[in-house]
Amino acid sequence: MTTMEDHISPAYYYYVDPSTLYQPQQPNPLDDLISVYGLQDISQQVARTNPDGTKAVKLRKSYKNQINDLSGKFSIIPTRENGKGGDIAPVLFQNNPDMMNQVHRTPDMSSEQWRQLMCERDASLFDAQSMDWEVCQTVLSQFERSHPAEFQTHGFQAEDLAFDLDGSGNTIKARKRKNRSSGSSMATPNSDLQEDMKRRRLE
Amino acid sequence: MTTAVGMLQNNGLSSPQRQVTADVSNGLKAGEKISGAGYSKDVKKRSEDRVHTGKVTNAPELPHVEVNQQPLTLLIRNLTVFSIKELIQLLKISVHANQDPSAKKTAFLQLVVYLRNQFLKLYVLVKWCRTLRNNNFNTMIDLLNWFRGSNMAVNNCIWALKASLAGMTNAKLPNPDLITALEVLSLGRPNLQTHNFTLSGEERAENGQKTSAVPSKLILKTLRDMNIILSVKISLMEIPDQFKQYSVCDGRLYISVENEFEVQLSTTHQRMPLFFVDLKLLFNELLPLNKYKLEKVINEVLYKSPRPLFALYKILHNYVLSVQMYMIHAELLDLESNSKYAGGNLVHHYDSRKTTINLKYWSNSRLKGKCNATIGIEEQTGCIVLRWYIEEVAGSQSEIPVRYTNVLSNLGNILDEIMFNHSQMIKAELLSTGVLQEDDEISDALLFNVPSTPASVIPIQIKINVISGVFYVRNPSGLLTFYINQINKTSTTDDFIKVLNRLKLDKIISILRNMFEKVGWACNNVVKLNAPVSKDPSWAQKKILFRDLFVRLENWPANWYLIFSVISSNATCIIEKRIGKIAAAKGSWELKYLDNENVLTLKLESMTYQKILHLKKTSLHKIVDHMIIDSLNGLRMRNRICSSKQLGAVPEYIVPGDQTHHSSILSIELESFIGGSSALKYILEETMFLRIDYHDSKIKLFGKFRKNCKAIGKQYNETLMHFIDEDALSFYMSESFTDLNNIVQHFNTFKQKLMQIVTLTDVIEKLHDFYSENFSIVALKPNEISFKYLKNSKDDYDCRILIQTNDDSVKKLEIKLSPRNPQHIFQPFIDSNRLDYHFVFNYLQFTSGFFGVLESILTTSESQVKSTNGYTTVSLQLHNLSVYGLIYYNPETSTKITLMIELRNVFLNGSKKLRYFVHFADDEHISTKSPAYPLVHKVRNTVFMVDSTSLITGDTISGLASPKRAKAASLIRLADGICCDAADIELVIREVNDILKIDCV
Repeated sequence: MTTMEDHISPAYYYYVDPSTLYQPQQPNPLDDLISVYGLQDISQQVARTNPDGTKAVKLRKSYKNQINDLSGKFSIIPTRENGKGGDIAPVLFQNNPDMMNQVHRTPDMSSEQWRQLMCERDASLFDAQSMDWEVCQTVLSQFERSHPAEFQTHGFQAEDLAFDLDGSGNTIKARKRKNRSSGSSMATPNSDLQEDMKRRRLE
Repeated sequence: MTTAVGMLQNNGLSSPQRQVTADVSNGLKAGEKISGAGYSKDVKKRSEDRVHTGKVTNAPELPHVEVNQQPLTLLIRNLTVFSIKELIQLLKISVHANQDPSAKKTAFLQLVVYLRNQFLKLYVLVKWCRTLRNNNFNTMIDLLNWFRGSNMAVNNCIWALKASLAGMTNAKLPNPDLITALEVLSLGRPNLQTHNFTLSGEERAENGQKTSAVPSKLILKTLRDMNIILSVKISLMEIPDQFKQYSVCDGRLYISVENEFEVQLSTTHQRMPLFFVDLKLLFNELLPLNKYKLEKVINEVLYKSPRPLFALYKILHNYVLSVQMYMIHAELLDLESNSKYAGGNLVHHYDSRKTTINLKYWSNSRLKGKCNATIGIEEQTGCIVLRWYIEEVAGSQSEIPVRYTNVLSNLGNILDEIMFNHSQMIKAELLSTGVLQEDDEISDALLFNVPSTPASVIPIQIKINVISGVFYVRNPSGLLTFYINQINKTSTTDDFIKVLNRLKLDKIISILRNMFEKVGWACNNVVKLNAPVSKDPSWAQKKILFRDLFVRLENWPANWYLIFSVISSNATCIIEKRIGKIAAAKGSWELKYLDNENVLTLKLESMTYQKILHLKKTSLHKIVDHMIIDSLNGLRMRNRICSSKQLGAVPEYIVPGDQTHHSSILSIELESFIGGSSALKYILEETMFLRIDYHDSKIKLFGKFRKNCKAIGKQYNETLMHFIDEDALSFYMSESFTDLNNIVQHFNTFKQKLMQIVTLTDVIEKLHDFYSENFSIVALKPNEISFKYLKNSKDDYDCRILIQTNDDSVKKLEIKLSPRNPQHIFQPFIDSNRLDYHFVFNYLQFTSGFFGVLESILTTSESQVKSTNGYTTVSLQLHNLSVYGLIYYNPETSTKITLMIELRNVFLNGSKKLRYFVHFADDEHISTKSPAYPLVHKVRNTVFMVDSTSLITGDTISGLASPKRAKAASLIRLADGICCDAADIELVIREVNDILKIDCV
């Protein structure tokens, strides 16, 4: 026999539905999730402090240190702040199929063929209809011999080219490599370029 | 190794994901997105790896995040394609543009630098990605995402809890039974076990299911069991006396207390306490009861008390009493607002905590605050009692009830009785004073007699309103209303009587005033004195009231009143009549004058119109008398009025011959009248009399000389005074007056006249002293006396005295000697030297003999000059007032003899006397050869030298045998001069002159 009360009020207290099975949350936030997910390496790599409390990786505000191995003299690191970095995101994340050449794999296509197609999908950019080499030549031929002063009227600094004209960039690089310290350098555990990465930034 | 790197935005946080090398070819449409399955597959692989490495954990799956993640290949391709297209674009534009080559160059360089910079970034990214060993960066992103999601869930939970907390503010949970509380909170009732019985009959009727109904047998059995249990239980319990009447029935115990309540109790087991079932109030069954609350209280008492029924009786009894008190309170409220007591006559205060009601009746009456009763619970009997607090009952009238029971049903009647009794008591008390009488016809009225005329009274009916306690009279006049209001404000019987007496006094005053005004008197209502005219310190104690009535006639002198002091006691009324002067000074009325000697005391009953009319005729004279007295007092003259009784003592000459007309006589002391001068004291009698004859408007001042001044008295001018024939010493001065107000002005005239008399008399007295034989007054005017004093005067007068007076005294006496007076030579001295006139008179008198003889000598010498050879001349030289010189000069022989006459004070027989001293001048030396010498010598010998022969014989001076010579008793011969008094100077001068006037041969 069902009464009205059965409809109105449940037969349990505290409004906790006994029919529902409540499971503990997964993953359990009380666990050490870093180790659960095997993130110790990466966390050590980016940790700001070492377990003994000393300072670990500093927070770098520029990638100046990362490009020191390049041949060039970057007296000014291009960033968004100084207006020379530009905005790369719209370029990288553009997802417009019309802009890019699309290739489609047909069932009858072998994987070799497909790979070939993939490798050459952008080669058409250098075809005659898109790239007029003569024009390029014409234009480049119009460029005469330059002198540093002529760019300044158009707001271009020669330093932006980062040409290591006097070769000072390499000397510093070489000297610094000998004087590296084990302290506050970025840890690159899995790289054979470890030494390069660990050098101290230019000062 | 190819690494696909997803980018979070553009800032370089990457999520590395390891992919197989073959994924380069997998980077088609499907490869751009990494599916969850792929990922989990990947994880599985990795976990398998970890199993091998020994670090494997069974990590639960995390929700995968793919947003904003792209493969690195795609990124590089995107950038590369973009760069190529940009370059082509730039070159295409530059070909046709007519730009400065350097500008083109710059644009090209800028593009190149820009693109290189983008590749630089990508380079850094790739380089960093290579440092990640396990390519599990994406897991970190997932973990972070999961943390955020969990955090949000916890937050939401907290907020939801908080919201439900706010919704449950009204839920109150009893401490011991949290579960039941929750039931009640959530279900609205507790979940009770029903044992499958449904007690409700309705449901059984509807469904006809007998299984759920209680069998009636069970019910009856249970009731019987309960009856037994109850009977046993009650017989084992201690029962208060009030609970003796109980019955057990229907599973209940019925206990009823008469007139109070019936309570029903029950229990389920003998060992269980009794509990409450129902309650009825027997005195009023309609009263709604809060049985729910009562049940709680009673059950608690029954459960906890060691003697439950006693406690139950106590609590119920108190409850009943409280309810009854409240009902009385409600009834009183009703009585106060709706019954005959409405309008604030009845006031009560209900103190619910003390369960008392303080009742005040007659709260608008004069006795408010004294009319109290209290309703409360008597300690001995424990029932509600009304107690009437009345002070008087404590004494004699003990038969009056003050304690009433059965208050609840009988309240109105009790109040009526109390108020009636109280009114009777007040009446009795008022009657006991004797001021009020009982009315024979109307039993509840009191009579108070108020005079309607001086001789008659009318009774006033005064009644008490039993409801309000206020006294009232029927059809009151304005005055009566005022006094009834006053009566209703008094608090004591004495005050009550006082107000009544004041009413009587007011009435008497108004009756008198009415009488006076009808006959033509003017009653002054304005005058208010600080203190009553008639005073007696004992009156205040004897409850005697008094008030002054000021009346006057129009033609009376201003400020003068007849003052009637009405003195009223309970029984009688006396009127005192006085005369007084009242003037306003600085805003207040002051009694300036009051006749306290001639106070006339009358009874009220004797005040008649005849008397008032008579007063009108006779009072004026008295007023004038007093006015004069007042004026005299004001002038500081001692005086006294001579009333008609004292007329016998007054000298006859003052009493007017015609007695038909009224006249006032006052005696005045002379000295004070004149103003302190005692000059007249020796001339006039001390007492003077002032008579005012009203019929001919004359004021007369009578006086009397001490001495017989007839000789001089006749000299006084008629305008100055009149002598009364029969008595030559007495006189009067008369002035006629026109205005009684200004009667005082005449005093000054009298005073001046008297001063003149004083002066004149004084002067005359002096004159009389100084030459009685030859003295005669030839003329007497108010300011002038002319008289003769010289022996052989042929003049009209010898001397005249002008009297200069100011207001009250003689200022100066001016002595004028007649031009033909031989002493006229002194006039300049008299004028200039301001000599005392006594001195002057004495001096003139003293020297008059000398100057008399001198004049004769001078005249004879002149005549002799012609008859004889007449060489020798005589002349007088006045050195000063005390030294004269007589110079005999013979031009023929040019001889000069100077005879000095000096006035000297000498001591004779020890007393100082004024004497003449006659001698020759010292500075003048006359040689023996001078023809004058013999004369001088002769004088010395005959006049100056003592004649020894005559001394011996006692005979007269030889050779000059003159009969007069023998008289010269005062002569003292001093060899070089002679001394004599005023009487003998004539003789001496003549003697010397006889010798010297002979011319030298």
